[in-house]
Amino acid sequence: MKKFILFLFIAFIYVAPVQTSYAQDKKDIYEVKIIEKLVLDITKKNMPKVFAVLDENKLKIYSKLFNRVKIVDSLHKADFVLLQKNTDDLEKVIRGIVKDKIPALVLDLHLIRYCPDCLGIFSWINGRPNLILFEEVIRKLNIRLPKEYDYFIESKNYLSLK
Amino acid sequence: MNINKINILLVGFGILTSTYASENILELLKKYEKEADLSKQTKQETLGHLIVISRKDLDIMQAYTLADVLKMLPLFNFGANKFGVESLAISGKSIRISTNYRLYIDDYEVSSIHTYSPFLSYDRYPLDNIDHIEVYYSSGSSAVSNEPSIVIIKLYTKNVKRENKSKIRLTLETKNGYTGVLNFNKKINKDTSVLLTISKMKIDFEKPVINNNKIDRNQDRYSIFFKLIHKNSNLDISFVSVDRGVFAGFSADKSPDDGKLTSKVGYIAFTHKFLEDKSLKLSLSYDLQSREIIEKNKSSEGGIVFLPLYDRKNPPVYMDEKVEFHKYSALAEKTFKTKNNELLVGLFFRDYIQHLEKLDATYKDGSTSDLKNKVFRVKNFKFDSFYLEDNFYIKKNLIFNFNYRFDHFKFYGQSTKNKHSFRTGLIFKNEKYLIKSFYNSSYILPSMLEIESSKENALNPMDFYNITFETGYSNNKLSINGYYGYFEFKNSITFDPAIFKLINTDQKQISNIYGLKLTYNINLFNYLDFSIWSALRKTEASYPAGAYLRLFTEYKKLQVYNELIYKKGFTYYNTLKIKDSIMYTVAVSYKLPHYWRIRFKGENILGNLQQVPYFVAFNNSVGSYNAVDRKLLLTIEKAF
Repeated sequence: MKKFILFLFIAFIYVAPVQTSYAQDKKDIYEVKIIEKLVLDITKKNMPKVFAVLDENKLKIYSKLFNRVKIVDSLHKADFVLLQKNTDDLEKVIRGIVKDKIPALVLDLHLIRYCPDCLGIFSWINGRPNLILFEEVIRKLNIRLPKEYDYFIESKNYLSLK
Repeated sequence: MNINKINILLVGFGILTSTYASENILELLKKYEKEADLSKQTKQETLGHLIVISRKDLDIMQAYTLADVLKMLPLFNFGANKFGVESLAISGKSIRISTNYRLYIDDYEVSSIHTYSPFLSYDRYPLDNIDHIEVYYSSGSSAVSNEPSIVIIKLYTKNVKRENKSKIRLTLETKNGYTGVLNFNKKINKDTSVLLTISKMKIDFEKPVINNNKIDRNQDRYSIFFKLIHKNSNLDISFVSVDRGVFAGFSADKSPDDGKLTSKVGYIAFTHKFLEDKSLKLSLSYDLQSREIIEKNKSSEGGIVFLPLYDRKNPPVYMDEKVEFHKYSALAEKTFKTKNNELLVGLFFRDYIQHLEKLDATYKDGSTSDLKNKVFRVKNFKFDSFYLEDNFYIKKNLIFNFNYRFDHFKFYGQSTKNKHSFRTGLIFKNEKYLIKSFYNSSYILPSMLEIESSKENALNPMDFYNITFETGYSNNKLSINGYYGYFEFKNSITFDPAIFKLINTDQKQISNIYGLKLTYNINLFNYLDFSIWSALRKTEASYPAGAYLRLFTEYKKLQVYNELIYKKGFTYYNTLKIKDSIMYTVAVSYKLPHYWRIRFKGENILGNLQQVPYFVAFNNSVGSYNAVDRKLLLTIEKAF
């Protein structure tokens, strides 16, 4: 009997064809919408330029879904920076962010310790998505945000950034 | 007074106002959380009638253990059975050791090898390693469960990539209980992550008085859960140990003089997914479970009614049974996807071994005996399955579901048997409307315990068929679902008081169950969950109908949870009137600086506590004890 059902199983594996469909995930759409809205509200520019240090998969998704912001390959051209991937030149990028006073959002909680002058975090913490914007950086960069962002503004002292 | 201050004031009433226009940043974040919920990746909505308790729900509810979730499940009653083990029962049915429910941690089944009930070790399982819970009300879907059952509860563990912080938790309870938990998450590199949870709990319960004696179900519990993920491979190791009072136990008067029930369960499971689309899954696992029950009861109070030992003229007054179980299993599953079709094909082999280490008894006449080699035990049990499940997309939103399972099994001392299970369903789902209906013909195997307590050391499987129907409507604000289920059981296993053994009965058991569930997003900070249900049965041994109303509130650092559970009263054995019950639970938590959080919870603090009725054959009396306790909990959490 075991041999018979083993035969049936193997027969199925060979007979049935495989095809996978790739539908765009709704969560990616909302993730990109959040970042896009934040970039537009902070920079107050039409089609702001974003320098994005992202892993390959995320970069592909963001490039496809960004409608109202443009990804650029140079920090010096950028109005906004997204940091998600720890690369060899991360320190250099962070120095550039501080020097040119470019607002930067960290997309991986572990990177915030390298970038205390970043504007905030948009990352998963204990299984839930968190958006946190630092009031000290908002003041320092003289950013004026709509009232709806008050909900997300915190002092850096409130969090352990180490 | 600005809007934020008004909101803070309104928190006390559990209602907050939203001041934001549509598609603001908070609304987008809420939608993102909903769409990114891990249940979106795990739930198989087309495969059954399903309730999801999300991470956010668990967080706001302050659901620390599985019992906190099970006590509010629609269509069920939940309470301690005669061994003090908190168990589920379909509305109207008695709360006992049930073979109908299967519990999974991720895709691994953890129910008892001996009884099939998962609750002996998992009733108060801490949820600190769990992301979300899915409860499937319809059986028979192979993609959800490969064991015959009626209800499937799936606990999905946390995704380390979404944690980014480890956590410690300390909970103190009134009645001297406490919990300490370490939940450690580490993403080692792009391909490898580790999840480790260690917990220690002490739970003290109210001790009901039966026959002038307090009976005890207090628990001391440890658990360890370890999960290593590397690329497409998972290694899961779990261990749970529970020491508890034996409660009413096997004692004839439901009131033992002394007793202890110890359960230790563990497993190691390795799973690897092959092929580029991960559509071929292979899994190997080993389970070790052990249990010891020690009980004393005077002969003047009827002694101990442990069926394999019981002699009415000379009943046992002391027993000590220690038993060990092993399970070896191997599983292979392949999924095939085409444009209009999804097919799952699987093979599952299981070998169960029972080893009776000790069975000592002392009888009324003072004689003692070592019964280890004298009583019948199901020493082994082999169970092999072949199953397939097909979802054919007739149209984009209309799915035809077909499920077939062939089971080939042999209990020790019995001949080999084959059983077939079928299930068909039709599912229509679009952005707003949902219609699902299933017909299922399957069976529930007798457990080893039932066979050992039976007249001829053999029982037939309990056959059942059920027809279920669900319809729903949802939009951005509101989601409403109606459910109807017809269940018919044949060859039910029942206790025969004439011979003090279990037998198969010819009597059909029929249940009709109705339910309605409504979720309403009041605004960005509050959502309401309402459910009402009823079961029509000829006899009632638990609440036949119920409803709940739950309000979830989250505003900045504050979370508030309000829960009202109503159960409709009934008459037990035509003599004991159990009143309607309304219980109120509230939970409040506040996030403090540096990832600290303080939580306060009042469980069942107002109203009549639900009751579990019992019948004492020894003196032909009936009574009831509290199904749940009233208690306060204070929790401190620190993420690091």
